[in-house]
Amino acid sequence: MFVRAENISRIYRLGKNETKALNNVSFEFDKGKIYTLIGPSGSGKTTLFNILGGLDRADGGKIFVDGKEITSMDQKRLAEYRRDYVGFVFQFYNLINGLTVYENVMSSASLSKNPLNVDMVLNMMDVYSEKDKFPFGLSGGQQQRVAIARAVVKNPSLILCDEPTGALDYESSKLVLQLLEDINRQFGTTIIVITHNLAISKMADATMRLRSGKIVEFSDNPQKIPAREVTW
Amino acid sequence: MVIKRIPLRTMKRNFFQFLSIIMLVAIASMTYTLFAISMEDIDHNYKMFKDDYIQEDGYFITSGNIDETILKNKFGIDLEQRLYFESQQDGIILRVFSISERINKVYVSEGKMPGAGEVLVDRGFFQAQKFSINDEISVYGKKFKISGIGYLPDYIYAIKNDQDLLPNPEHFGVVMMLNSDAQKLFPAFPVNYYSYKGKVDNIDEFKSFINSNWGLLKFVEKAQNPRIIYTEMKVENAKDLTLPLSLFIIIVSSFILFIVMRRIINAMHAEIGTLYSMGYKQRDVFKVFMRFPLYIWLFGSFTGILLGYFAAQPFAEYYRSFFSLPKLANIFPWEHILIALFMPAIFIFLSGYLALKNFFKLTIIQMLHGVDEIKFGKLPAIKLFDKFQFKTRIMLKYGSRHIARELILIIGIIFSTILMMYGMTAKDSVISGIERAYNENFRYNYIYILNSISSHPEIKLGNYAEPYNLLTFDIQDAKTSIMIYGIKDNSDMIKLYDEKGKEISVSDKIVISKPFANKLGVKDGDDIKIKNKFTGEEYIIKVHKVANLPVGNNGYMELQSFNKIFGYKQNEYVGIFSQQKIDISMDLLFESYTKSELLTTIKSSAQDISKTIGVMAFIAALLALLIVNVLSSLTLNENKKNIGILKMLGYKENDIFKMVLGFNYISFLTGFVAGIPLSKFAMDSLMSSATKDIDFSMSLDLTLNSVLSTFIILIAVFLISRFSVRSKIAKVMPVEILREQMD
Repeated sequence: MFVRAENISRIYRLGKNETKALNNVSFEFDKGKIYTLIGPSGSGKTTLFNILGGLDRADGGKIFVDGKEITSMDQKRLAEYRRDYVGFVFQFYNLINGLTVYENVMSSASLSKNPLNVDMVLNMMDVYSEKDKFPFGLSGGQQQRVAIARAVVKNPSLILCDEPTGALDYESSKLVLQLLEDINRQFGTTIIVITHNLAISKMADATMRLRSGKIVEFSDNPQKIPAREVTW
Repeated sequence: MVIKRIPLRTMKRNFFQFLSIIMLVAIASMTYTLFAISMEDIDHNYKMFKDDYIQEDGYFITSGNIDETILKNKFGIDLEQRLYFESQQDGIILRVFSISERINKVYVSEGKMPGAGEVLVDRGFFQAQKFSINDEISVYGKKFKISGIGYLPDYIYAIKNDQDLLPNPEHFGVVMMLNSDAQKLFPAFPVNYYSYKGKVDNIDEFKSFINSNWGLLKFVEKAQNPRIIYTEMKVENAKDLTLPLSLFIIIVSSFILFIVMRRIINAMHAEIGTLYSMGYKQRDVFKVFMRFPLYIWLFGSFTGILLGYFAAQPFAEYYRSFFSLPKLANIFPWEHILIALFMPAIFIFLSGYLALKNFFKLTIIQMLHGVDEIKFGKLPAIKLFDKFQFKTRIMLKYGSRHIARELILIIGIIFSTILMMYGMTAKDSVISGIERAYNENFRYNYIYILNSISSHPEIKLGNYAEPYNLLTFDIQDAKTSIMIYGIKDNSDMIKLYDEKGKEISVSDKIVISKPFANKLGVKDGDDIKIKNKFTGEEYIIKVHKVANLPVGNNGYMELQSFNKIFGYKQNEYVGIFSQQKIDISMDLLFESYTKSELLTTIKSSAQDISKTIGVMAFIAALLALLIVNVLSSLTLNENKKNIGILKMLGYKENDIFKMVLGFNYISFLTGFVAGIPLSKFAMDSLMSSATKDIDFSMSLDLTLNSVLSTFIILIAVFLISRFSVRSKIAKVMPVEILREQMD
């Protein structure tokens, strides 16, 4: 098992009110597969994404990634975990506006012990010709491809994508999905995609459905289809 | 680390905002460097000059020729006689001194020491008269060749009369010639002039001894000699101002930097959160973002130091031109350069650190998703605002939401008001105030000071002239002295008025000038303990009234009461005020001067003062402009979303501008109104500290003219600045905001 979660819970407190964002959630993800997390707003998808990425802490339970327990790590070790294991792709790209496309990808590569070649990754994402441009000069689709390049260049074992197509048009979305599939195939990276778009789950190896902080369904997808055939 | 490029790129993108902060830092560093280096230069050269050329510790004038050996032995001092006389021709008065050998030695900056038939003249006079070396000058009817420019350590501030405020090189010059030439020119000197060097333990005994043996006409210690002490006062005054002035600008710029940095960091919250998510540690992000203050400090301080350093030389020369002070050595004051460099660093890095520190308290999730919601929760819910119309309410809420920056705006306007008002008032007080005093209070045209106190039967006084008597006293428990005049009752020459403009008549009590009363802290009916400077006799005298005179350590009494109290016979006097010229024999006359000379001096100096005021007004206006500009731009940038929404709702740009930035008017007016009494307080404190230990008092009163002029300039700057940021509202497109909202 690449990722193993045991009884994860996360409670948000606002005054006297308590909200259980995750309620004793347990699951296992294999290495090199694509998973989609789906569910309505408030189901706990983003909370799980944050805890898996080492951005937030669980209130209870344990998570093991590649055999290491991340739930007991201090901030310093969590930063090292994010550096060595995780690549993030956000809905709104979160590129650094003060850096060019190349520098954005480089900013990630320079943290890695074993980075991929930046030019190769930019070519793979088809944004090499834009490498000297700043993010605000790119379309949404191009920005998201740069964001994926930035995530993948570290050569991480795990890529976490939070609504990666949420801000994109249909064509750009399909391109992004194909790229994620290519990365998974080429580098054996485990990819977890949070999405509202049920169609995307058709390209995943398995789908986990959440509702009110609980897993209501975990289903393998034996009829997995290539990303280019996904339509909605 | 590639991310270290972020700050410089961000600064380029927000160029004008950062340029304004850099300019503020540069102004602060420049102000410090400029004043500190130039004043250090003047101070250093002044000290060298007074030590190397043996500045006197005092001088005195006697009617009899003294026995130098007796005085030297009895009081353990060095003493040197100087020949001294005045020559008047074509409206120019030349004060001629013989060149001394031990005390007040002459320094020649250009040309050479004079030989027989040659003279040196002071620099101010040399330049004002456009002389060249080897030109001829007529002294007492005889032609002399100018061999060079000379400086005397006791004439650093080359004023003609002790009471003068400013030198007048157009009409007054100091001439130095060989003792032998002076003797040939003027074989019988009416008075004897001595300079002494050395500490006298009992100055009263010293004066009394001279007076009883050789008739003391005048005794001036160095600390009471305006020709020496004005220089020290002006340099000390400028030095005192340097640090607070620069510090203030630095603190204001640091506050603004803090606000700008917070805004930049807030705007980059998702980017910083992303850096964390990529695996960057707090230390890495901190190092990158501390580059903002680093660049601001480097660009601002170095530019300021360079500008200040290169301007210091001409500024010192310009300042030196007010004095007759030579430049003996070049200095490079490292300590001031280092202060100018590191003083801003402390505040700038501190504000950068504090801005970051607050942000680092957030979790990565908060960074990634922003903290707007948290901030919104802190919006002030002041019920009072709800009583106003919607637009006014929004305006008040915007103001109270950004209370810190409104406070900085207020402080900035207060500072600019003080700076500008100080300049305006200095001009008004020095020029108009004194001019007014000489027209309203001092109605004589000539003053004659005789060389003895007696009834002077040989002088016939017409109804255009009045006798007066005069004595100088030390004030007990204060390092100052007072010149008390005995004047005619209902004098036509000296008119004294109280604060309300009611005429004050003189009596057996004393009437003193307002600035002097302020300096001593006395009022009507108070007693002052005084001690005769020459005899050491002590008196307690009551203050009858405080007269509204703008300047002077003067007191006035009725002449016959004066004579009675101080032991003179009835009708004795030492001087004459006259509206017409009187021919008085040279052997009776000690000195004379005319009111028109003084007024000419003041007028000719007005231009120089105007230049200085121009610089002060420019700095004040620039500061106000930068502060208003940066803060207004910030507020508009931060509220783009709201501006877009208000536009969508159909509000006009003008209304939106008033709602978002309308509070600035309140802050501006608050700053200006608060600046008026603070200006008065600052000016009084400055004047009181500058004149604390010297025999000089002057009141700097705010005039309606200076208040109005300051207001007009500042409001113009304020409106220009607002106009320049207003275009930002026009640039906000509601459709972009909608798109951002969707995101």
